[in-house]
Amino acid sequence: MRRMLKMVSLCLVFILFLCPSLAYAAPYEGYTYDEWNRAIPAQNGYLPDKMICGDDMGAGRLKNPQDMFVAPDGNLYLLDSGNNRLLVLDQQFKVIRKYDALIDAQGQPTALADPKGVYVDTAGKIYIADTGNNRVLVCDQTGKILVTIGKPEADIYPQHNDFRPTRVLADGTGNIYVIVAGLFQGAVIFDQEGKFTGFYGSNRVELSAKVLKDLFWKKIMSKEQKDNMERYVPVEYTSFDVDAENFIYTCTARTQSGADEIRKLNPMGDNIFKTRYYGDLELFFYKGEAFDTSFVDIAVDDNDFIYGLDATRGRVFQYDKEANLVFIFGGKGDQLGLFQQPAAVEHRGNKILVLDAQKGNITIFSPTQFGENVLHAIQLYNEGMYEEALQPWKEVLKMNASYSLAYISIGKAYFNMDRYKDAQLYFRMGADRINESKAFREHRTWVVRQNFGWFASTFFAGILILYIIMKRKQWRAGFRSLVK
Amino acid sequence: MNTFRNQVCLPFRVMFHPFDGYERLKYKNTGSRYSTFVILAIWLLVTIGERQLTHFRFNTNNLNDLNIFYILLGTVVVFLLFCLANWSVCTLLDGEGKLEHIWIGTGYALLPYVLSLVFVTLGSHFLTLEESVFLSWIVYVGIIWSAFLLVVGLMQIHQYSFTKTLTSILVTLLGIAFMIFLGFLVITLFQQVIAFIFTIYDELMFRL
Repeated sequence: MRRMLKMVSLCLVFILFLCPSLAYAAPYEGYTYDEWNRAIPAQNGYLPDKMICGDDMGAGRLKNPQDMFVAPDGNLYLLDSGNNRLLVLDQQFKVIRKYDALIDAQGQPTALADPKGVYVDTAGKIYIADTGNNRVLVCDQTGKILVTIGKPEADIYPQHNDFRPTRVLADGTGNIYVIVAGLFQGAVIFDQEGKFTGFYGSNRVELSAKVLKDLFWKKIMSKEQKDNMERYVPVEYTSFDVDAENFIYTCTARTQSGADEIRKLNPMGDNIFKTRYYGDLELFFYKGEAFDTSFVDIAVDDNDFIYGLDATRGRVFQYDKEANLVFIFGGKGDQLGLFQQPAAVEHRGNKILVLDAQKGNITIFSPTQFGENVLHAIQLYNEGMYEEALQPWKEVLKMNASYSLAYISIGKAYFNMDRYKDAQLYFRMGADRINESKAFREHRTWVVRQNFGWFASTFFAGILILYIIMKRKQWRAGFRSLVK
Repeated sequence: MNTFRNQVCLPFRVMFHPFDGYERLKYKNTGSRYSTFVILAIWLLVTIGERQLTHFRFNTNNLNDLNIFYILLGTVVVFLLFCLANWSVCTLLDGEGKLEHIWIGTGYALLPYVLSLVFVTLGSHFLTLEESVFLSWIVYVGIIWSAFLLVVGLMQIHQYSFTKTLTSILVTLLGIAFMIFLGFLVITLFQQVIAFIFTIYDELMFRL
């Protein structure tokens, strides 16, 4: 009998070893940041689908591709910068058009040289930042150049720099915005014909103690000493994107204050978002060097979700339209879902595409079930439909109990439904002190109204007792004289 | 004089009648050292309570990061340093205070502040964010009252004039800084000595 049991248990153990272990669907672990800005584990919202390399597209090996853009008609325009050509891919990522050279006004073909930025507007016009040739080209679908933009000759434009455009976009009115490498006055704006009209969204030099101290010293130092000092120039943008309402979202690799790496600019060039930190919130040092997030590209989708691509650790940070952190995915490495040198991020439908310049391929990410629940719930929340968002958020909380946005949204729904005690509890779990205070105020008013009798009588009884305490010596003396 | 009931009521009487109370403390030895210990213990508990138990609305501390050692440093150790520094400094400045009187006097002066912390912790559960001014007021009243008691107490104990009391408090603070500096120096030097001994030991081990 005992031998039988031993045999059976041994067999069971063997069977366990035979079962294949769960394969990890992603080579990265999902995480997010809690209210104390510490990284905590979270479910993955996006998982890698597949990688498309140059051969899969039918275009040979890609060499150092720098940018890509999903046009309004759904085609993907990919800049194969090392091979100086522009590829157009369809929904299945197969090449349908190739632009090795563009036809200029005289009908002569002219080649691109290390182009770093591409954009396509709703009319189908293609804008290319031809960095190596110091120009921006606007051409139509046949490859005929319509507008060539070179270095502006205006007085306010600094002439000592070469004109090296790295990114380009056009807004709904046809104005062309160009990010020029080494230029700190912001983005350069040109009108539809390519005439220089000014600068946009210049980063101001951020005030810090170091800046003030150096300002003070500069007043005293000699000219030679001043020349040797660090110059304070605002940080330049690395990339930008435009949404359907002509708001421009910019990203910066590194800001002086460490905050506001992603900005949403209004037509005046001012940042609409509140001051906050983007990317990884925990700084760490290795061999004396600080490793912080440096955004190289940014994309905005139709629901105003923002995707920032971090080159330091190869991660994509997704934020909603209020700049709340939603998901983090990606990483550096060789496996599917990791990058060597991420260069550009784009969205197509609900899938996210990331371009890897070193590996020469595009990785496609799709949302998980959890991811879809969260995105759906966030959209309802941002439209103010708190009660419709109740059920989706409860689904999200079943999977991830520390999603603070879920608690805040449910709290707001209960607040609107006059369930103040529940609202107070949910706001507390979502770490929202201002709303918790509001819910408590309403709840307190309700409690006092319900028990007004008790409150009033205790109040008057207290006054009576105080009166008696203050007068007791007087009364005792009066009593004694009466008795005597 | 030293019954338990007297000792419990005495800090409150000093709180409301400082000049009277401190005069009696100095000339008739009415205070007790143990009541100051009790006040110190209560101060420690109330500080921890204020950090942890203030309602979520007003509490921006991470409740999991409680470190009692740092709170001890900030309350009991500061009190000890103040008493020692004050006694040393005032001896040099021709004060009449004995260490026992300074200890009791400062302890009684703390009481309004400790009570204000208790009220703030309680009040945070019943007030909204818009009414947070009241909580700030309670703390300010507590601090100002305590400071007043401290100044009056030191005036009586050392028999100083008002301005001399203030200067003596400033010099006491300098004395505290000096003591902390000396403490760091001693610790660093001891660390060097111990490192030296261990290095010699390691060298011997390698060579034998």
